[in-house]
Amino acid sequence: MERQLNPGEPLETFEQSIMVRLLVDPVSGQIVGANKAACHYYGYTPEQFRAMTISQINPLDDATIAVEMARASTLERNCFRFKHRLAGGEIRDVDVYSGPVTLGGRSLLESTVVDVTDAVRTRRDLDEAAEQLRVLINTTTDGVLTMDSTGHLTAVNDRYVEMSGYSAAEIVGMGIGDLDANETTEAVVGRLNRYRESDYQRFERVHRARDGHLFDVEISLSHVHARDEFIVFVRDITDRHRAEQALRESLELFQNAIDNAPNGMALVSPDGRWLQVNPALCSLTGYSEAELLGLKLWDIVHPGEAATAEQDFHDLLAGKVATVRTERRYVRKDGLDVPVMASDSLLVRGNAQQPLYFVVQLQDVSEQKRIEAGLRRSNEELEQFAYVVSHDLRAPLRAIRNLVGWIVEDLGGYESLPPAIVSNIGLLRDRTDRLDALIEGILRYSRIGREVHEAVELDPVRLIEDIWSLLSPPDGVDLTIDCQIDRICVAEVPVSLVLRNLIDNAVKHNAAPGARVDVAIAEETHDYRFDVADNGPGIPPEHRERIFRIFETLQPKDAIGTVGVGLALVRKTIAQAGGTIEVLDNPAGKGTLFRVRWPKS
Amino acid sequence: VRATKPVTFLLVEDDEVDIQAVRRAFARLRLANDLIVAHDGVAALELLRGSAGEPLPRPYIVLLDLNMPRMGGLEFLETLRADAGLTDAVVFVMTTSAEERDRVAAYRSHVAGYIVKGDLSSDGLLAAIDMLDRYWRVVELP
Repeated sequence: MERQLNPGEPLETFEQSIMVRLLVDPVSGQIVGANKAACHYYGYTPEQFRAMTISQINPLDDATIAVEMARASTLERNCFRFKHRLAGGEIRDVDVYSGPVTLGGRSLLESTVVDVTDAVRTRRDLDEAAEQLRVLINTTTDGVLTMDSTGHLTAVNDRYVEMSGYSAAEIVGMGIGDLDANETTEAVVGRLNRYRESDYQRFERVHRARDGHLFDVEISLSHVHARDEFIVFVRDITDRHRAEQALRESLELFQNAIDNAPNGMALVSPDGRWLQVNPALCSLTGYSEAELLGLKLWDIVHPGEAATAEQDFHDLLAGKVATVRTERRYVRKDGLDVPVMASDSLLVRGNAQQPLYFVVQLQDVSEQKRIEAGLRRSNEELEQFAYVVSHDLRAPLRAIRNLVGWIVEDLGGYESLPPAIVSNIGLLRDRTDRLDALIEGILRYSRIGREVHEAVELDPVRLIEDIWSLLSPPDGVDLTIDCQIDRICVAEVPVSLVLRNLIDNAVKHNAAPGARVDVAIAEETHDYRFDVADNGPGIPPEHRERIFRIFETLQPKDAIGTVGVGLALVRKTIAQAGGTIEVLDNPAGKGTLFRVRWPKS
Repeated sequence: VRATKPVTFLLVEDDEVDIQAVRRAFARLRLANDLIVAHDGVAALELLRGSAGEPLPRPYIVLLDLNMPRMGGLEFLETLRADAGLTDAVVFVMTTSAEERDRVAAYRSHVAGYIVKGDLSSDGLLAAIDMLDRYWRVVELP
């Protein structure tokens, strides 16, 4: 079958052929001849070709080339897909058709080379596109169906199988109406012409799954012209519908909350116009919603404060402050002033950080103002009352006391009086003294909280010792102080009032021999803790609240010379400072432990 | 020793017991000075100005209570200081009020002293009258 190039086919034919043709020695790989088309294609001269071997064109290794050439020589194969290198270095895809020829007695290979680079590239691109499409369809979170022009399904992806519960084999061949819960295949087919006219359609439908349950879907349908097919993307939007429903409901709730809010609430535009107002705001200002929407924020502020309100607003706008919370007077439509706690805030910015609107809340504080004024008045009255008590109540007491003294004096002194009269005069004086102490107690009680005391650094041990010596306790009563801290920082007057009363009580209520008072002072995270313990009779749990009430005592007042104000003073003073007091059993045994926690300054 | 004309004390006080207390203190201390009593500010001004006869002859010291009907002590002081003929009068306040605002107001009206009758015993008053007795003997009065 070896072909004779000459004389059957003149060399001119080889030379003149428009096909790229090469003559190669299959043994050495030597390029024996190359036609004009070959020189043009590869970019070498005939002389250059004759000095080259095939391995300079074919980048495969020599052994592989030798094997391929042997195949061509024996006609085992005559068509090869190779890559060839051009003179400029560019690599091209080529199909090589080779067969043996004899020229001048030499057995050669005659090859016709066809450049297929573009065809190869196109094919590769197509393969890639097909692969991408396959991947896309199988990984998309949407279901994908293909449907022919009769409304029957020809393919389905995994996602739709998952959504519907049908197998792929079940779906292929079904009409679209078998999946759509509300439409027949015929109805869909009737609309297909409309779909053909546009590239793309999107609409919502309801599909029925294999088990009968319905699910909301969004369909995106496009027409493939070449095959008159339709690609149907199916997106499950049940969750989205549910979320939209929830959002609608929560917006409604929010709107409801604003509509029914007891405080005035509004949205105000960046130029100060009322944009949206709630009913409470209308009733607070006396304007209707329509009237307010024609006004600016500061139009209804009292003229004396409007400029400030406008300035506050501009400060918010400029980002100088995040919130303005202030009291302003607004003028109602009926002309009445209404004091308002206004809170303008949260300039809500859009995506471009643009000021969108302000949230304004207004709270009518008239009632609060009235109460405050009333409170102030009653405080003033209390002060006046305390003044009257101190003078008008104590003056006659002192007069009684004086008069008793003068009667005794005018009768010639105690020595000349019978013992019963002396005793009664003693009782009379006692009662006047007690009444005076009572009045003094009321005065001090009423003054707590009206006086401000600065915190100072104190040596706590010294403080207790000073109190002890001022109390001049009876002989035989022992005091111990357990204190690990050198200094405390508290307001001296109230703290020493508290400790003095507690220590005084501990002494007064324990007449037994061996009486003792144990004071412990410790520092806690937020407080100082003062423990005042005694070994007295103790206080039954049911009386532990009672003892703090004013004028309450657990023993006859004559017996201990008290009027029942001390612990009331103590508790009010501690409460005023934000501290606490507890009554506990003395853990050391008999008696009571008063535990005071006084906040650190 | 200079010959001093005994000072007259004008007690402006509405409470009978307080008046008696001062009288008794005078007696206990054996003071022979004249003690004239006015029951309120209005009556005291009439005495000082001599509205119903001769004005009170100098030298005198006014002992002034604050809480009184018709015209109280502080109002009396203001009127006194505004009166060109009486503005230099020497006044001691003797009161049961220990209120700071009363004390401040009294000194603003240039009282010579502010005495609180706080103590229930009469010893405090006795000491105050004794002090006044020494005071008028030592001090040159207008």
